[in-house]
Amino acid sequence: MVGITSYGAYIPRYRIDRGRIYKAMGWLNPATYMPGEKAVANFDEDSVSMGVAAGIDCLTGMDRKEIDALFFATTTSPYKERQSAGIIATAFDLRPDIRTADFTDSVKTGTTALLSAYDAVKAGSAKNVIVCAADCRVGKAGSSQEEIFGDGAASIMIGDSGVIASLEGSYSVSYDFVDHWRADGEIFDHQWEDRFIRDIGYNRFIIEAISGLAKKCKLDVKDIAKVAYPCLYAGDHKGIGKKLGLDPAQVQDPMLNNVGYTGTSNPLMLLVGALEDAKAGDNIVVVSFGNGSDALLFKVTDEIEKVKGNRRGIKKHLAAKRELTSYEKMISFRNLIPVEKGIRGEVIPPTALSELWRSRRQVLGLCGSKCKVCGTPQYPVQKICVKPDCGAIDQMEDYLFADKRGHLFTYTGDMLAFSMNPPAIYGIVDFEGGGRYWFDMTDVDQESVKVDMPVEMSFRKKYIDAKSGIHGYFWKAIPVIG
Amino acid sequence: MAFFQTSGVLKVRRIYTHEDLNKEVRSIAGYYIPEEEKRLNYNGREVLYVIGHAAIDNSCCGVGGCRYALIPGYVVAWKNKTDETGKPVSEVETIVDEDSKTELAGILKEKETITQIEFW
Amino acid sequence: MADGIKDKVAIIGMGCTKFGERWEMGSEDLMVEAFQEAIEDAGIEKKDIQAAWFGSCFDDVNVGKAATPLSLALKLPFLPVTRVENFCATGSEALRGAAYAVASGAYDICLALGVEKLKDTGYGGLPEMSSAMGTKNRLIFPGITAPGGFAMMATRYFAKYGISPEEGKKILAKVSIKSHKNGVKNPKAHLRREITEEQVLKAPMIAWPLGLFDCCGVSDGSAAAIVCRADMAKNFRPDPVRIKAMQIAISSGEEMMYTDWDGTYVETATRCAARAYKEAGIKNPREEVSMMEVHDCFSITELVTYEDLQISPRGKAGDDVRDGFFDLDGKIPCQPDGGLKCFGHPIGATGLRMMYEVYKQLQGKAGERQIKDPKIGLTHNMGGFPAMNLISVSIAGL
Repeated sequence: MVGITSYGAYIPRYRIDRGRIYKAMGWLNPATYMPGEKAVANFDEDSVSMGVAAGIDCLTGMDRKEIDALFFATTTSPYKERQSAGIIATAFDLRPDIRTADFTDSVKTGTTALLSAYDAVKAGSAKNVIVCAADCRVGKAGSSQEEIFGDGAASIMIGDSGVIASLEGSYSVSYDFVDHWRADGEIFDHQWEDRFIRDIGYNRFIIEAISGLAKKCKLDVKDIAKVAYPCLYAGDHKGIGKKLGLDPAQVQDPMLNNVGYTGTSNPLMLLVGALEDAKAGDNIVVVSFGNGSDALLFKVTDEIEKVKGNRRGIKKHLAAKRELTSYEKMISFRNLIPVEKGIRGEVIPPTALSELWRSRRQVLGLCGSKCKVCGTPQYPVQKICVKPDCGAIDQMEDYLFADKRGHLFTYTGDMLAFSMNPPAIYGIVDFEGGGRYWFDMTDVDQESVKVDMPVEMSFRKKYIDAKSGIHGYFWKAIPVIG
Repeated sequence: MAFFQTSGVLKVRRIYTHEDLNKEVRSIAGYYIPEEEKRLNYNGREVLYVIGHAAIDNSCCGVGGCRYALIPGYVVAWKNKTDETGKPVSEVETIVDEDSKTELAGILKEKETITQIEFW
Repeated sequence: MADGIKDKVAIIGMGCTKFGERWEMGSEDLMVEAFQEAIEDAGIEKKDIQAAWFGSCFDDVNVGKAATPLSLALKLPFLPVTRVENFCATGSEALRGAAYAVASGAYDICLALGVEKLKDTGYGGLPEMSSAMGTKNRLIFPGITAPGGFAMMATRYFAKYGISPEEGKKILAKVSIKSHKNGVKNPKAHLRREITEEQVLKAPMIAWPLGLFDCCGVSDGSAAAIVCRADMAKNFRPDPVRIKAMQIAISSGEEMMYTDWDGTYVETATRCAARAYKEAGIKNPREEVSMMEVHDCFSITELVTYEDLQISPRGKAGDDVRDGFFDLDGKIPCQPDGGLKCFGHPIGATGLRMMYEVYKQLQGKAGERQIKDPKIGLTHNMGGFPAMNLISVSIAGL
C-alpha cells in the first residue's frame, strides 16, 4: 500500500484584516472588497522558508535519514536557477543521495508533485518521498489579488509503510488554459476576465476532474467524506459543490476567509485540513486547479490515529496568530515599495558561496557538533571541544540543533540595528540537551519576550543581496508555536 | 521614592519634574525632545504620559531614532510642589501591572503617532 | 622564568587631540596633532624614536591598511613601524607593542600612536561591520549592534541580582551622570555637558534596557605615547610614569558556546584583571588602585567592570555607585576625564586616550579634575560583545 504517511502545514503568524487593505486601496478599485482576513508572510519569510516550516511539521517523529526524495512545488521560487528543493533538503539535513525536484510554473503542481511522489514509491525507486508546497504570491496595490492571495505551505510524506491514507486513484486533465499568467521576470500576475475564469476554468475543469476520478474509481460522490478543492471565488466554490451533488458538510472549507488563496500549496493545505478531521475508512478527494486539474482519491486507514493531534497542521497554525495592523507593513514586507534603509541598512557583504558550500549543513541545516569525549553539543561545528576542561581535538560527531528547543538566556530589542520590522530582537539561546548560540528572533513583540522563555528554531530568509542575486537563509529563534 | 503595599501589589510613588518642553536634551549618542505632557483617563484614574521624539545620530554603533511615549504613571498629585530650582513637580504612581501596561500601550499606539512606549 | 613588564618601561611623553566631530581634520592632521604634543612633552626629537606601533581599527574608512599611513603622516625616517588592530583595545595594543619592544631590550625609545576617523562614512555610528566578521560568521551572526550586545548583559545582571528595571536604570543613570560631570572639566572632551538623573530617566530606549544616556558615541581623535627604558626615563623628565602591567585576554568561545557563563560578568575581564594585578604586584585592588579609566561604551559595561576588576564585590557595584565611590571625590575616581561618554570612541585612539588621563593625573597635571595624590592608575578596554570579546587592562604608577 502506498499513500500518505505523514502531513504538516504552515501558516505565517501575521494575519491582516482585509478591511484594512480596502481602507488603504479600496478608493482605487471599489469592487475589490472581500470579507475576512488573510495570512501574510513576515518580512523574512518566503516560499522556501514556509516550505521548510511545513516540512518540519511533517517530519515530526520521523527519521530524516530515511527520506529518499524531496519535491517542492511553488510558483514563487526565489531563484530562477538554483533549486529550491535543494535548499530545503539541506535545511532538513537530508542525505545527499536523494532525488530533488522543483515543480513549478502552475498553481496545479502541488498535486502533480504528490502524484510523482506516489509514482516513485509505487515504482520502488524510493521508500519515502516528502512533498512540500508553498506560495507567497503578490497582487498589485488595489487589485483583487492583493485582497485574496494569502501565504501558506503544506507538506505531505508519501511512503509504503505506516500509511495513514492510501492513494486509491487519480485523474488529471491538462489544458493550456490561460486564466492568469506571469512572464519571466515579472512580479505580478496578469489575469483574464473573471467570468471566463469562473465559467470555463473552475466550473468546468474541477468538475471534469472529479467526475473523471469518480468514474475511474467507481466512486459515488455520496461515499466521499471530504472533497478539498480550491477556488478563487467563494460563491463559485459553493456552486461547484452543488453541481457535484455534494452536501456542504462534504466540502472542505477553502480557507478563503481566514488564510486566503495560497496558490500551489492550497490543495495540499486543504488536504491536511481534511486529514486532521478524518477517521479510518474515510474517502478524501483533493483537487487542484491551474492549466487543468488533478484529482486524487485517498482512503484513510487506522494509522491516522497515530498522526492526528501530533502535528501543528492547519488548526494549530490558524490559532497561533498575530494581527498585522498596517497595510504599509504588508507591502513593505514583500518589497513592493522602496523603503529607506539608510546607508548602513543597504550594506550587504558579499556571500562567499564556497564558504556556504563548506558550511552548508551548519548554515542551512543548523547542524552543529557534539564532542564524543565529553558529550557537549556546540554550534557552529568546532574542531576543538569548547568545554574548558575537555578540549578534545577532532572528536566531533554531527549534532542537529534545528529540531531542538531552547530557552532564551538573554535578549534585547534594538532600535539601532536595521530591521524591516523594528525593533530588531535577538538573544542568546541555551538549547535543551546543551549548546548555546546567539540568534535573531522573529514573529515576536518586544513586550512578550522574557528571559528564559521557551523558543524553537525557524528557518528564515536572513538577507537579500539584490545586487548579486543572492537570497541568504539562516535560522532564527521564535516563541514555541501552540 | 516611597513604597507602599496595597492588596499584594507593590506600588511605587515617584516625583515627576515638569521640565521645559520642546527643548533638546543632548547626549553624545544623540538627543531627545519632550514635546507634550498629556493626561489620559484610564480605569477611573488619570495617567500622565509624555510624547517626544529622539534621534540617535552619533551612537556607537548605529543610527536610529523614535517618536516615543514615556509613561511615568498614575497622577497622584498634579503640580502640587516645586523643586529646588523652582520647576513644578507632580507625584505619580508607577504602573506595574502587566495587563494594564499592555492595554495602555495598545491605547496609546492607536491614539498617538509613536513607535516606542516606555513605562517608568 | 618570565617576570612580566613591571617597572621596565616608562612613559615620558603623551599627546591627545581634542576628540569630537573633526569635520575639518583628516586622519593625518589628527596624528600630527597628537604626535607633536607627545614629543614636545617628552622633550625629544623625531630622530630619537627608534620604532613605532600604530593602532587603527576601521582601515577602510580611516587610513587604509598597513603601517604606511603613520610613517607617511609623520615622515618617520624609514623606521620600523607595525600596525596593530584588536577592536576597541587597538590603542592599548599599540602601547603594549611599543612597551614590549622596549622591555625586550630591542629599542630604547618607541612611539605608540592610535587614530580613528569615524566621521567619513556618511552615517552616524561605527562603520557597518558585517563584512569585517569573516565569511562564515556573516552567514550566521544575528544582526547585532553593540548596544544590543551589552543590553543583553544588563538583562541578565538585573535578573540575577533581583534588580527591578526601574532600580537598574537608576543605577546606570548614576554611572553616566558621574562621567558627564567630569567631562565638563575637560577641554579635550567631545561632549561637555552635565546631565540630571531626571533627564537620563526620561530618555527613550536604544536597546532595552539601555537608554540614550547609557550609550557612548563616535568621535574622531588621536592619542600618542613615547615610551623608553625605565632606567633612562629621568634623563627626560622628573616625573615619568612607569608601566606596572599590560595584559590582554581574549574569549575562547566558552561564553558563547558553552552554557556555564551566566552573562552577568565578563570572563575575559575577570581573568585579565587578575593577571594584571599579579604582574603589578597588587594584592588588594580596592585599596591600592587610585583611579581608573574603564571602557564605558555602555553604562552596564562600566558597572560590571567594577566587579570584574575586583573593586566591587559581585552584585554590589550598584551600592558603590550609590555611595559615590567612583565619583571624582570618591575613593577610586573612575572616568575622571569623562570617559567614552564624553570623549566618544575613536577606536584606535581610545586606549591611549585613557592612558593619557592616567599619565596626567599621576603627574598632578589634570587641572580642574586633579585627583588628590594618585599612586596607581588603571585603564581597561573591551572590544566585541560580552559573550565574545577581548579585554585589555593596563596599570601604571609613578
